[in-house]
Amino acid sequence: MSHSVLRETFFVIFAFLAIFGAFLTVSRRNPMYSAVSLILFFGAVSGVMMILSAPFLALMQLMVYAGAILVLFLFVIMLLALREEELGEERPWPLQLLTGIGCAVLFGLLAAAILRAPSAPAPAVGGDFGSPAEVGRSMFAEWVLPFEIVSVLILAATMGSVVLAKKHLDRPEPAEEPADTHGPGGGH
Amino acid sequence: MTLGGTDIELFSPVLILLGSAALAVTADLLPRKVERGALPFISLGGVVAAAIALVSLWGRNAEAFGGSIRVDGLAISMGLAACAATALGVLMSASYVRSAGVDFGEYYGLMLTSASGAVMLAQANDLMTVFLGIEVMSIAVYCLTGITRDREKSAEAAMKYFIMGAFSTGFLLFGIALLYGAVLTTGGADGILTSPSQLSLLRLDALAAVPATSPLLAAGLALFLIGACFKVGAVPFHAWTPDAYEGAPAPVAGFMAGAVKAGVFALVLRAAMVAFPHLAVEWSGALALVAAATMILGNVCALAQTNYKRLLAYSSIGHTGVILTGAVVSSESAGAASAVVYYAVSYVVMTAGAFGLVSLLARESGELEELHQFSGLASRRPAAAAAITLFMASLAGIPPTAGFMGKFLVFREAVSGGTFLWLAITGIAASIVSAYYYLKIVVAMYMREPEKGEEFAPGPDRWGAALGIAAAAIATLALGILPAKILAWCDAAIAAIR
Repeated sequence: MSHSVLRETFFVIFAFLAIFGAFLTVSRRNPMYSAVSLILFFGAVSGVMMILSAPFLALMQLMVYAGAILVLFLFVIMLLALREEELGEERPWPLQLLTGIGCAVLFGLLAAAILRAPSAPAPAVGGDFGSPAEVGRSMFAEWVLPFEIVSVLILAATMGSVVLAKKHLDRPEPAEEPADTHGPGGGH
Repeated sequence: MTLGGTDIELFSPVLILLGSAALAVTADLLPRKVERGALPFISLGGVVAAAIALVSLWGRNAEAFGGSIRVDGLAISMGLAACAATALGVLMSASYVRSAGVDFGEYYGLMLTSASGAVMLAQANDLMTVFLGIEVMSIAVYCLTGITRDREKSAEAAMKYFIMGAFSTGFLLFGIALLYGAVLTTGGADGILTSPSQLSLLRLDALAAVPATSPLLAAGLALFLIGACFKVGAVPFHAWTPDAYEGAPAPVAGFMAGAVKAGVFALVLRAAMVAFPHLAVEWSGALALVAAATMILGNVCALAQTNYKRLLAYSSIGHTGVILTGAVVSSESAGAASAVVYYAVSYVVMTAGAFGLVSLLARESGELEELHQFSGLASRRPAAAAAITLFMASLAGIPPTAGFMGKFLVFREAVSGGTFLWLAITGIAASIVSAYYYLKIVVAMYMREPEKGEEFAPGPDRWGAALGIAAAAIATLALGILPAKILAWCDAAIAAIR
């Protein structure tokens, strides 16, 4: 088996695993199953990155997403300890069918566009492409502006979540609506 | 890529906004009383400094950070529109947030961060910066929407807005991936090794070099437009708008209506002129349908509303339709793009004023937002009623206001262009319908008796909202009475890009 056939075989395996994982993530009612399916998805995507000769990114994907973020998800879901009746009503089947058809049509259109595109050979990359040194160089030289803006983005999100989760609201007249402080978004 | 002083200079408006956001957040270290008083001034100072930085860049036509950022007339004028929305938002917030119990640094910090995202978006010249600008702007606005989280409506609005926004970001990002693929598979790939940077493959003008027949380009453009339409609340991607505007604190609603639209429409115009001129027939045809549906549905649904903020939300959908009409017509007439800029500025001031009245009239017990509560307002608060009348007249498009001039300019371009005459007729008909619900409020204020127990007592310490409304009212009138000078600026802003 030649090198490229092997690569394509692995790509197909990982791609299908990723789609399967993503499908399970959105279709499970229990968020715990969804989160676990997400691990499958992240793992498969990291496999695709490995095939694209980006081992460092693949490792980061596993460590950051499949590792840290997913564990956080699982902790939050466990802390919430949702009971069956809290998961909400299942959508009526005609709506599910309609959603499914909509997704299938969108998928078909996009697949058609992608398949009809001229297939240029993937551009060759340098030998040390995807190595930590190369990733660092491009991140802090060429992509420095996007990198810095991402940090602003994360700062904004952090600020927002701290405010929404923790900061107590000091209304001047809490006496009027005493139940107010225990509204959605919860205590502090 | 080497960075120099010019890069920083061209990016300075964004940096100033971010710096003042950081200052506002760290003002928490001051004693509580000092902090409360200082926050609006710190924020306002930051916005004014950013606006001055933008004005000082006027006439420049340059790129920074390896082409990620482009400073030209469009970036500056839409950046100024976003700054105006932010300045008015800060003023309207000054006393409102105290009675809502959210007058801490993060409130202003988030607003300024969001403004920096809008300005960044107006300057964005490659798909990466476009995406990041939109996200910085949106994430901060989601949080602001839910900041009065002990009010159920606010929390619900933030949740809906966030989920729909994240969903639309998916469309946008997938569109960007396909557009990048389109560049790579046609010609771009040959140059990838010789090209000075990978970033240049993401540039908006790289897309203009892709053949119009590329299926990836068409699919990417479609998803890209869907993402943009979601962000401005165009039909059929408008479902989040009424809930988000109704649930958000009034100053936040006014801010996001103006600043988000200014940023996204700058992107739409830039993409139309720089990235997709060769697909003009396709995108203008698709957007024309969206614009017509947006104008009709927004204005017709507004007729049935009984909540002032919800009514303004549907009205904002209607106005999005008019701005989209301008963007559509810009595919065939140069004047339409400057009409869009003019309209965006007008919309910012009149909608900030309209939402500002809610901040001004808000009481400790909550906002004055049901329409029947406005009955007889004129006899108790004549100045406030007069201001509402002015903003309603402007939103309806009655002369001599900014709204009239904006609509006139957009529809004139559509009529003279010819292709989109039907769109102009639809828009004018929708505007006539809209006059009914705007004037309904005016009638209630002047011709009805106040409801029992409705005192319209002024809230404590409303100087900020009063000042903001006065500024918005003056701007609304000035844009309506003296359009020539401002229109000349808008023309000059657009001329450099074509």
